Amino acid sequence: MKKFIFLLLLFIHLPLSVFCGGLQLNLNGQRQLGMGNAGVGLALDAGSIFFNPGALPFSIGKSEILFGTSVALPATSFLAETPSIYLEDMDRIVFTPIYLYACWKPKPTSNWNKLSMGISINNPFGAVSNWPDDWKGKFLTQEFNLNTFFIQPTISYQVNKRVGIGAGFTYGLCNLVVKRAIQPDGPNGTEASAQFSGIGGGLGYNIGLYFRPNDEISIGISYRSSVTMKIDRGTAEFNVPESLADEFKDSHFNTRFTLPQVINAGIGYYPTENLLLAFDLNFIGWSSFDTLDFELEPEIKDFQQYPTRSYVNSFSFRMGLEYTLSEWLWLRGGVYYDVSPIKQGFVHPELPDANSIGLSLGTSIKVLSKLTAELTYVFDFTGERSAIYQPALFGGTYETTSSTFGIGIKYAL
Amino acid sequence: MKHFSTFHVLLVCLIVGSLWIEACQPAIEVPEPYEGELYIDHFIAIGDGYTAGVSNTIYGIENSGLYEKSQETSFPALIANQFNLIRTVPFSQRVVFGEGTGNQALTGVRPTICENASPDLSLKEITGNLPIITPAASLVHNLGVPNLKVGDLSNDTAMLNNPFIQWVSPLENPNYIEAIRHAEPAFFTLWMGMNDILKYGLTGGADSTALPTDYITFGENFRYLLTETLESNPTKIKGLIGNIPDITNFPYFAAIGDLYFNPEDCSKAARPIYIELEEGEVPVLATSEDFVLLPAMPHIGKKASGEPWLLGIDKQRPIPHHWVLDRYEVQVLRHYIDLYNEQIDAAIALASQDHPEPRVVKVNFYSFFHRLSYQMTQDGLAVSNDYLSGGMFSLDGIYLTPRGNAMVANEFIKAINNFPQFSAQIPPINITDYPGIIYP
Repeated sequence: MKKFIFLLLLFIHLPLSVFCGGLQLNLNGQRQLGMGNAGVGLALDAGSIFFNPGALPFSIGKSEILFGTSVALPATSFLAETPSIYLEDMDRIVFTPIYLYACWKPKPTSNWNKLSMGISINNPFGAVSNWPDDWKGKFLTQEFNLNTFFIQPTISYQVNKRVGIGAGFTYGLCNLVVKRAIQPDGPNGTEASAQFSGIGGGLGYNIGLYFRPNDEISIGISYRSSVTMKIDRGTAEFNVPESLADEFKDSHFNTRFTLPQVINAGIGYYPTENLLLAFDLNFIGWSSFDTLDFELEPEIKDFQQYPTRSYVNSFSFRMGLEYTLSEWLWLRGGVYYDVSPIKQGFVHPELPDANSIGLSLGTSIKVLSKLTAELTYVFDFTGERSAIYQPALFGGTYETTSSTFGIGIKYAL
Repeated sequence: MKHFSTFHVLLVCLIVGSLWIEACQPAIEVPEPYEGELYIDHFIAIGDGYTAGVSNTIYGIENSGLYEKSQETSFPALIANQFNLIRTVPFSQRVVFGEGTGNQALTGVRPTICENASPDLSLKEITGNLPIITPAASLVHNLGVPNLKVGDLSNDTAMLNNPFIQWVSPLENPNYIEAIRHAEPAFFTLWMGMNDILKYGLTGGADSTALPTDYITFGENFRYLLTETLESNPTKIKGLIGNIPDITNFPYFAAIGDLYFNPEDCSKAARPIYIELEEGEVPVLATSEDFVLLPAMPHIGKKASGEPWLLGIDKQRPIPHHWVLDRYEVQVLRHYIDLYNEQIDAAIALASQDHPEPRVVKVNFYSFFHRLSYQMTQDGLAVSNDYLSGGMFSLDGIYLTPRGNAMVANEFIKAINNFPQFSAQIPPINITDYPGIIYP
């Protein structure tokens, strides 16, 4: 207990969110995150419900609840195109995606003993990007907030002592808030602004296959489908000078955007009993995210937007290791490389993404026989990326670094 | 227990390390700007009302012409702000306080909801107030003189009658060239000649006292102006010379077009406009080659009191010829501008051939304002020559808004940066920091 409290007390800071891999947050489980976020080929814990539902029967005992959050602050800087010396930083905000996995296996004596089931609630996608209201790119973005909640009831089946399959049905919810300056200027030179906020949802699924040819190696393949988020009748509010109030009446908007399908393949390897090595490859179908277009109802003639995003498919490569120090202590480390889905010419300051490298460290401490505390630290950086958003002719150099602190609890029977 | 202690230490390092990293904002290397071969600490702006900062932007408030607020965002002041990022440079303007020197003002604006229809406006001429004209107390860096023509430079009477020449000079009763020589510019912008053609255009070619300056006089005077400027500080001097835009790109000419759209009823089809080419002649339909001038805008489609005819819509009441720059007059106007620009090119070539080092660079405003008529996008802003919504031109449709001045200043800055012999790198201006038309 003392150890547990002590460790909790050491955690004071709230670090950053990650601007890599587009809108993916990749903060879905401490153990996996500690290993560079590899987990597809592994059967570690209830997190398999998300990483690879096929591994779920091999991942849990009788039942397990896994709950955690990762606290993040992005640190993004922008320097306008040479020879400008205009430098601006994104506002630093706190961002805490969570995960909650609750899984259960029937008794070995039951007729259903080959099944495992569970429910997963997490935030696989999201972004918060706030620039100062009067910054150079204010006509493209001032605030961009996307939160998603995915609820996935899942059922898995252990085919035999080496193979498992699983499938889950995903219901995704999202909350989008976007604010930008718009062109008419008001008295005192204050610009007008438009704010869009809406809630939407979409459906998808998550399927996986897990195969363990022997005690040392495990292989996993999983597929998470794309989820098309539909926001209907979100509110569009305009803050304009009085004389233009009739032209820019508060209105409603619809929008659709598709969060990508993800194909994952992974390997776990135990060279010794205490050491686990993991490798993951993810292919993310970001080409489905083509535009972010707000359809106003009723239409407003002079409202201008830049909806083109034109994301391309991307991939990430992850590897990590976990070392079992004792029956109550584990240490983890990992590295990953995320390729940005945003191609040159379409880097919009709402999501100034770039290829990034991440380094992770983690630990688990079994504080009680059934309770384990899990902690992770990730450092992610992009380096400088010279980028332009061609449709609005806005460009410069972006750089993002981020630190993320993850904390989680596992309660396992 | 031993394991626990080392683990303790590891964990503390982890926390401290992460706190340290978390505190770091990425540090992108900012390029250091530099002036190179230029002497930015003695920058003199030579020109007319565009250089001085004449504008009409603020609705309802009776400021117009040259006034404190418009001078704050004159393009030379904006260029000087950018020079200040390299080191502190002096740049003074003689400020006109109060209502301003007068121009035109909008007393009513109601933008319409129908696409293409003109906003509902009421315009009025305001005389404004000239300040009491005395010699300037000290050197004034912005030598922009409203209404000054290149043609005036050989006409002492015309220069004597322009009070702003005295306004910008500490000398007693100078002519303009004397004022420039006294200022001894080491770096200059020179943008003049618009006024030589502007009055002809503004009066619809109907005013016989407002004829364009003949191009021979223009050429002689321009060469003289340039030579005298370069000789005022021969060892150091370098500068930029703007040429003359096709003023029919300006909304004063381009805003109305040849069709009338009913602002009240979006479903009504566009009607062609009747114009008169000469006084008393049979009215004709306007074509895309004819320009109906901005002062007509509040009156088109309306009845005069006591008469049944709608201005411009009914053949019985065409747009009067002084509110029309017709297809013939447009040809004349454009021809003059082409001739003036040829003279400017010749003057620059002459100045360059006499000197081993290149000292002057042309800034092509003719092509800049032409591009503007097709709309440009910059930093998410759509700027164009559209009246009101284009963001570039002030309410008078002739002079520029702060944003327009910022774009002009950026053209000068780009010309500096792109000229290798200047070896300078001046940071450009964020045009998003400056408003276009300010709506009430």
